[in-house]
Amino acid sequence: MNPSVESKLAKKIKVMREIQVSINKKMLEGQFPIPIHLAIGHEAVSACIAEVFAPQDKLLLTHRNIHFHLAFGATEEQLTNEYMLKPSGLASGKLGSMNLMNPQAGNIYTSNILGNNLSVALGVAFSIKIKKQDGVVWVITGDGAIEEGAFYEAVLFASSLRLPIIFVVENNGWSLGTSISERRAQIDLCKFAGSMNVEFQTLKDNDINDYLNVMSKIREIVVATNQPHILEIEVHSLGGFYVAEDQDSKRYINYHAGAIKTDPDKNGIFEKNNTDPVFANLKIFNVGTS
Amino acid sequence: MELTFTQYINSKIRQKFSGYEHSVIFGQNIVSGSRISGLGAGLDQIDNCVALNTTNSENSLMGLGFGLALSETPSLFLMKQHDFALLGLDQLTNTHNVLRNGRLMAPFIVLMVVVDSGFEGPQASLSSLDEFASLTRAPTYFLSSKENIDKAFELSNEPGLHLMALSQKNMKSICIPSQEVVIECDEAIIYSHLLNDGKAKIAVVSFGVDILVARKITAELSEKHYSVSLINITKLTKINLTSELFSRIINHDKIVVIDSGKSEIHFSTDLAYNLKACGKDIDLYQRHSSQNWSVVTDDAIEFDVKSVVQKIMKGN
Repeated sequence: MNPSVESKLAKKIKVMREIQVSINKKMLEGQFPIPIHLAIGHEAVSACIAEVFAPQDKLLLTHRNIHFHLAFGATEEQLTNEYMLKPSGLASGKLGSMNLMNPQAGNIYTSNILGNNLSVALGVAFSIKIKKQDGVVWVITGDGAIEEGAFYEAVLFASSLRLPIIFVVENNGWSLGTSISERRAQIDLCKFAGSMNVEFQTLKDNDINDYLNVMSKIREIVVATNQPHILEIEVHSLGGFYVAEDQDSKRYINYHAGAIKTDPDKNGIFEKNNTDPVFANLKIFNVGTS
Repeated sequence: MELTFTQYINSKIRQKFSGYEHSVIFGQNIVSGSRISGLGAGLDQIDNCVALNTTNSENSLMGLGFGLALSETPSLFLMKQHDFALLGLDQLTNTHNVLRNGRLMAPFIVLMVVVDSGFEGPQASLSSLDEFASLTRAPTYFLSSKENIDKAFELSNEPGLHLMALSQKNMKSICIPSQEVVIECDEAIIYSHLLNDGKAKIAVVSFGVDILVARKITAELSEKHYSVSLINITKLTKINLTSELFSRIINHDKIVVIDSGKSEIHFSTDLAYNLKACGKDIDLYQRHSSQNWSVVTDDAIEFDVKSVVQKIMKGN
């Protein structure tokens, strides 16, 4: 990869983290009247998608969308003002967080209902196809939403019509406060995709070179062949916490719909392994990782 | 040449979708198989329009229409049965609520057949447009007369979601122009037999996809030389007290409200309440046999035309 692109992305990931930590602080201070879902640990996904995203592409988001808005150009001030429902916010203070859209950046729809955006993405992709616009729809979903019937319907429909669509599954292993193993059987998305004649790729460990290569290639294939893809990316939503349920037991929850309440120095907002995209890309700055 | 409701609506669809640079008509069996009893006939021949037989996935299909409308592509979802739309309620309510304030750049029409012909069973005979209109806050049109169909297709040129419903019972009936159209309001078509004979002026206000009962009542009253207006609701909505329609209804001495829908909540109740509050003489007829709808029935409308007319005559 071009070193300047690599450096730019690593810096972007770091800045996105800093802004989220700053917003977390404001959440702790009670500055926002609305619920906000932070995406600390998801920054490499959005930064790399923004890098390969073409002007004619479209982006459909979920309730956990802050990392995408930052990657696609929103400033801390625009987001903070939006979360305070001020007219100077990114959407003039009208959408808040969970439905926040930024059409100027190609983000034309955002839904807080699990699986809801997948169906809308089909129409956007179909319109691109019949108008021969060479764009791709990036629809973001997660390991919780793929349990919905809407996911099955959408993948089948996209495959049947050969739509230019990439289903990006951010798999953080948690839905509300419940881990995958606590709520369902494992889903083998590779087999699922294969059964519907849809291509499948997976990514993990936040290597931005790897991410960019895979995402660029997928985009090229989708434009050339109208072959929908599922891209599953393992993410670790940092900021997990323990809930004390009785005197002797604590339960770990790695999901947060609100502020990360623990001590900023010990709270898991940064981790020293490759599940943290900031750590994983420190090597780009030529700094030590101890 | 006389056209059936099916043929007339089909011709309106073809006419409407011939005018777009790009458009999509979609649904199950619309350009193969039964073509929804002919509603889908020839839709694959419209220039620049993709007519698509789809998967059986109503939730996704509702989302598809919203995605197309977001992308400035007009579309029509032809749905064989109104009850299938229940599977798409998340899209119709939640998605629409996010996008209805000017974000949809093209019309998205959902055209549903209300299976009111009877003997279909408890799950196939849904006729609850009031609830759909309330949940979606979308314009909801009854395709119950030629004039209503014309009005609905005209109003649905506006970008955004539009729900349309027609009666299965009517599909093979002849859709003839009425001889007596007097006024078109935003929410209704008014047909009148007004006579200047000093008798009380009666309004028969019809809600629902089936106006047969209301037409029969109107005809009987006319035969008896009453001055009677048939007010056929086109767009199901709360009727504003300051609207032209309300002022025209209230101009009658006696008002009969007939609702052929099976909802538990009714916009017709709202109208009757407001008319009563204005001191008007109201008879309200709504369906009340919900106990029977949990089994296979003939689904006949319970209002007896003769007794409705007799009650009016007694009071006048």
